[in-house]
Amino acid sequence: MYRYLGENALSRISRSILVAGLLLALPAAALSNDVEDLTLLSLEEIMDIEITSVSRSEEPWFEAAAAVFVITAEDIRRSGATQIPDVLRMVPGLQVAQATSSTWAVSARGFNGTFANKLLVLIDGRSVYTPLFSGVFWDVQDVLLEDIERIEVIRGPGGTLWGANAVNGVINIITKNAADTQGALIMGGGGNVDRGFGGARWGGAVGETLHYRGYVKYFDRDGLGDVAGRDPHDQWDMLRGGFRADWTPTENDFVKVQGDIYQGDVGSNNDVALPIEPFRDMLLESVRVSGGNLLGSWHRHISQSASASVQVYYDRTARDSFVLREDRDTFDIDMQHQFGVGSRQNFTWGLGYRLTSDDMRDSFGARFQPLSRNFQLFSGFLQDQIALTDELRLTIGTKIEHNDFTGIEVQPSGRLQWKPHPDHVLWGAVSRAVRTPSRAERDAVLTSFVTVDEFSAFLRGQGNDNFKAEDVLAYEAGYRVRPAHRLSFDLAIFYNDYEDLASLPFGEPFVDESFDPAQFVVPVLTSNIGSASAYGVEIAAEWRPVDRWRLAGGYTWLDLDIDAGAVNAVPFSSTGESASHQVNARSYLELPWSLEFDTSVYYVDDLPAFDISDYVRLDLRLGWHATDRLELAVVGQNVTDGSHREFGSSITGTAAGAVQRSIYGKLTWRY
Amino acid sequence: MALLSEFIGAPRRRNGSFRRYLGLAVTVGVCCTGFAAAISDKLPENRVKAAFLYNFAHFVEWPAEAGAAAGSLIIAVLRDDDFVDEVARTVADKTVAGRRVEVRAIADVADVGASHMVFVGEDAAAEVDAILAALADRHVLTVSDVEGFVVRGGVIGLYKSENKLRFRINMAAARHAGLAISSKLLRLAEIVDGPVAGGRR
Repeated sequence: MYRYLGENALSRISRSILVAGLLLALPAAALSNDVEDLTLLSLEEIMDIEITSVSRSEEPWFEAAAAVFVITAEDIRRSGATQIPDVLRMVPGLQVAQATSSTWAVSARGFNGTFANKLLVLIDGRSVYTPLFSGVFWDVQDVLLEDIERIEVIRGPGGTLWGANAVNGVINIITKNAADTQGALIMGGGGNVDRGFGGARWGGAVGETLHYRGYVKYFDRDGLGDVAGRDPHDQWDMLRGGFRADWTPTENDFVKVQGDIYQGDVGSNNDVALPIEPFRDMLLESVRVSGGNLLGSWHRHISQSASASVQVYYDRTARDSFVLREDRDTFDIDMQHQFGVGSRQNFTWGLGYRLTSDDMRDSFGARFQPLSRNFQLFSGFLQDQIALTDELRLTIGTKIEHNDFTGIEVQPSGRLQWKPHPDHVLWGAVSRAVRTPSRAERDAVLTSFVTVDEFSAFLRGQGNDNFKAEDVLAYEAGYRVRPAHRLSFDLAIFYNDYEDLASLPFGEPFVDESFDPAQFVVPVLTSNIGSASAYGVEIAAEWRPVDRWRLAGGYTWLDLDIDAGAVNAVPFSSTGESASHQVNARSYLELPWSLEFDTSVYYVDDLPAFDISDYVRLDLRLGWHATDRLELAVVGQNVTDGSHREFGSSITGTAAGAVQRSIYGKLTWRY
Repeated sequence: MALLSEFIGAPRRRNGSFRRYLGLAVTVGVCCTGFAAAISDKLPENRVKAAFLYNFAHFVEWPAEAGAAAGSLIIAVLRDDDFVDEVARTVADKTVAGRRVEVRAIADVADVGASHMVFVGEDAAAEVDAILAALADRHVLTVSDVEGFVVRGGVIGLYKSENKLRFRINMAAARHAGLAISSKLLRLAEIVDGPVAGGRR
C-alpha cells in the first residue's frame, strides 16, 4: 500500500496522528480519576446511570460447539462502517473484499468471489441469498445499522439446521426487539465516498405488551477509483423503509411482524457480449433494484424445557439490468419445536417449505431456458442434544430436504462439547453439507467475448441439466478459554473435503456461421468434476484491560487447494481468490469528555488470481457524546492508503474498482 | 503467497515504512493506556448492580423472625465471585437502618444460613428453580439478573434496558416471603404478578 504514498506523506500523517493523540492525552491526565460512591445517590439517579457490561449471559457463544463469532451493536457503531459487508471484516475466518462501490466478495473459509456461493445469509430469519446464483446481492441487504442487535457468524457447515447453501458458514443478522428501540432516532452525515446519508426511526408502544418502530434510510455513495483507466461506474443510491412490531400477549408468547421495502439505482459496468460486430461492448448502466418483504413469527414457551415457533415470510426482489432482468418472489414457512426428555436430552425438530418463483427477461449475454420457473423446497430436521455427563454434551442431528433440481439431500452432523471448567470449552464436529444447484447452473447460457492477442472467440458457459449438488465433509475442532478475567481466546481449526464442485471444462471450439463474420465458439459445460481440500486456523482474542478500553483481534490462516478435475477446465472459484493470511486488531477506547477513539487495522494477504498484493487497511473513528441525546462522529476509512484494489473482475466481466481513502462525519440524535 | 513473517516485522522491501507504522500504533496505544482509566459517563454493570442491592436493603422490611434487629444485615451472593467483591466494596462501612451489612460468598444454597438477601449469580442460572424452591419458605429477598427470574418465583429481577438497569418485583413472591416493600421501590419497579417458588401460582 505504501507504494502509492510517499514516505514523507506517511510520516506527516504519522506525526499528525501522534500529535493529536498527545493533545488528547495531556488534559486527560489532569482529570480526576476519583470513583464516586454510588451509595450516596438516590435509586432514581442510579437507575439513570448507563452501564457497560461484560456479563456472561450475553456470551452464549462461548459454550457453542461450533466456530461462532458475534458482532455486537456496539462493535457495529464503533466500527464506523456504513455497509454491512464492511462490518464483517472483523470476523476471523471470513474473507471480505470490496470489488466495486456496491459489490463485495464475502465468503467463509475460502471460495471467495463476487458470486461466492457457499455462504448462507439471513436477516431476522429470512434467507437473503438468491437461488439465481446461490450467492448474495450485498447491495440490497441492508437495515438501519442502529437497529441491529447483533450479527452471529457461524463458520463451517450449518446444513443440519439451516439447510442447503450453508456449506461454509451462516451469517445471521438479528435486529432489535421494538421494545428496545423506543423513542426517536435521527442520523445523518456525509463525506467524500459516503456522499450523503440519513435515516430516521420512531418507536412507540400500545399498552405494555405491543411495541413497534418504523424507519426510513437513504444513502448516496460515490464510486471507487479507476483501475487501469477503466471507470467502474459504480456510484449508487438506495432508499429504504420498514417497520417491526413485537407483541407479548402473555408472558409466554412472542409475536413479531416486520417488513421492509427498498429501491435504488446501482451503477455498474459490464463487458457485454453482442451478437453483431464488434461482438462486445463496455456497458455502463444504472441498474434499478427494488424489493420488499413481510415476515411474521410466533414463538411460545410451552414449559421450562419446551418451546415452539412458527415463521412465515414473503420476499420480493427485482433487478433490471441490460444483461438480465430478474423478478423473484419467495414464500417461506417454517416451524420448530424443542423439548426436553428427562434431564439429559433435548430434542429439536422442524419442518419447512419454500416456494421461489422467478420471471426473467434475458439477453444475448445471458439466456435462460425456461424464462420463468417455480422452485419448491421441502425440508425437515431433527436434532438431539444429549448431556452425556455434566461436562460432556453430544449434539447429533440431520436435515433432509427435497428440492426440484436434485431431489433428496441429507445433511447430518455430530458435535461434541466438553466443558471441564466454566472458563474452558473444547469442541469437535463432523458434518456434511451440500450446495444445491443454482438456477444459472441449470438453466443459463452465459456468453462472453474474449480476445487474446489476435485470436478472439465467444465463450459460451452452458447450464447443465445433470448438474448435481456440491458436497463437503467437514471436520472441525475448537477451544475457547478465559485465562483471566476479561481476557478470552477462541481458536478453531478445520479440514474440509469437497467433492462434486462446479468446474468449467472447455469443450471443442467450433465455427459458428450465424455470426457475421463467422466466429469461433468455445463451449463450456458447468460440471461437477471439481474437488478441493481446505485446512485452516482461526483465532479471535478479546481483552478489556480496563472498563473503558477493549482490545480485540483475529488471525485467519487458510490453505485451500482446488482441483478443477480436468486439464482443460477452470474451477468456478480458484485458490488465488481467497487470502491465505488475514490479521485484524481493533481498539475501542472511551476517553474523558464522553469521547470515543476507535481503531481497526486489517492485514490481508495477496490474491494471486487477480495480481493483487497484500495490503493494510486502517479505519479510525472519533466519537463524541455531546449530550445524552446527541452523538457526533468523524470516521476515516482506509486512511493510510490513497487507493488499493481488494478484488478483481467478476466472471461476468464487471471490472473491480480501487478502494479510496474515505472520510465522513455523522450526527446521531436520540430522544 | 506473501508471508505473515513480513507482517510481523521481518525485513521488508518497502523501506521499513511498515515498521514505522507499527511503531506509531504502539506509541498511540501506550498514550491511550495512560488515560484509559479516566472518567466517563458509563460505569461497569457490577458497580451499578451492587448499588441497587444496597438500595433494595433500604426499602425492604424483613419480618421480626428473620433475625434480631440488632444483628447484621446479611447479603449472600451465590456463585458470582467477581460480584461479591464489588458488593463488599460498595457496602463497606455502610449501615442499613442502623445495622451493619455483611456480605458472604456462597457456592451452595444450603449455605444460605441467616442471610436476608440472596443474589443468584449467572453461574447458578441452570439451578434457579431448585434454588428458589429451597428458599421459598424462608424470609429471604431473592435478587438476580438471570433471565426469567421473577416469573420463576424470584422476588426482584434485574434487567437491562437501553444500557440502564431496571428491575421487576414479583409481589406474590415478596408477600410469601413476608417482606414489606416500600412504595418508593414499587413505584420505580415493573410489577409482575408472578408465581411463588415451589410451584404454587
